[in-house]
Amino acid sequence: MFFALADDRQNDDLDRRIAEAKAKIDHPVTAGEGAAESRGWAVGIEFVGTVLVSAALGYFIDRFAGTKPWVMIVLLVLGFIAGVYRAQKTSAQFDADDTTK
Amino acid sequence: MAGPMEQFAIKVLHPIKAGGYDLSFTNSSLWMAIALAGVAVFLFVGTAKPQLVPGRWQAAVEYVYDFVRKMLDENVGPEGRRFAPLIFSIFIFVLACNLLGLIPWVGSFTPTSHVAVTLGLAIIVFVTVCIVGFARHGFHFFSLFWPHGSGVILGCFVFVIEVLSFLSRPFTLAIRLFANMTAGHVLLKVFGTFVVALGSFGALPYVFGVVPLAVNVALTALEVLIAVVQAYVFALLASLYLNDAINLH
Repeated sequence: MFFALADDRQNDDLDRRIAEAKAKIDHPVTAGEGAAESRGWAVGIEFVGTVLVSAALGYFIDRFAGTKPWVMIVLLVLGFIAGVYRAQKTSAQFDADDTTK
Repeated sequence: MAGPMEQFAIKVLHPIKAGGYDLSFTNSSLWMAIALAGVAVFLFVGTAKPQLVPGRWQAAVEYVYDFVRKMLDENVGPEGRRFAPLIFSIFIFVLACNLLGLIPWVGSFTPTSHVAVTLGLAIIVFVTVCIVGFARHGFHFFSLFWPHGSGVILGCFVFVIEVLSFLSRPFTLAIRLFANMTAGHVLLKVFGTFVVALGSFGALPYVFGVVPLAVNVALTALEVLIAVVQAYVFALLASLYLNDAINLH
């Protein structure tokens, strides 16, 4: 079964796949892919930034309330959750925006 | 040879002291002023003689403005149009700062590669969102953080997470722009150093320097793209935050 499938693919579209692979080598990065990469980094920074801001907030609350280090630990964990949530939301919002399409 | 971080040094051009604060005119201020002047010239030339069939300048200005207005229409709705001046100003200022910093000039400087500048812009957005939210909805604005139709315990949990993500917005907005600009410019300078170091290397000078020079040309193209995309991302996220304040989901 598998071999038959492989044979079919080779007969049908080998030329097309070679052309596609060659096109990829000739144009490694298109403008669209560069923009997509920027958006990917934007989503990543959303996650890291939320964790850092939450931890910093917890640190300062601890300093003023004298509860070192508990608020920071709690907010760090919650910031982790908030970070994943924000990254997911930002990514969905980027996908929904049609301005550049 | 200048190190890759030296391009970010703030140099005082004209010291000003006011009430204990250091308000000196620095190279950062100078390049922000140049960016503003560039934007002003672009907009004034483009709208000096408006015609029904726009010329090149007018078409360019209209395209940029339409881009921002379309972004607000799609992400905020009809209510968003009154914020077009704000978002447009932020977008075109960030864009001008990003692009001007890419010109390889003596004393060239990118204001948006400093957290002070990007955080200032992000805080303008954050404060605007808070004022708009409270002005339109009063204390009902806090329902933005409360999940619809959930129990008290889960609700409190989600409330804290939503507040954390709301408070982190100005920082992520600022760090994203700053990190992109700084990383790109460091990379350009590092490869620029390679050109000089490899170009003066061994028995075949100039030969090896060609490779990092080619990389630098490609990187410059990528940096132009990133400069535009980051200005767009900044404006897009600002309009999404405004959408939260105006429509409460």
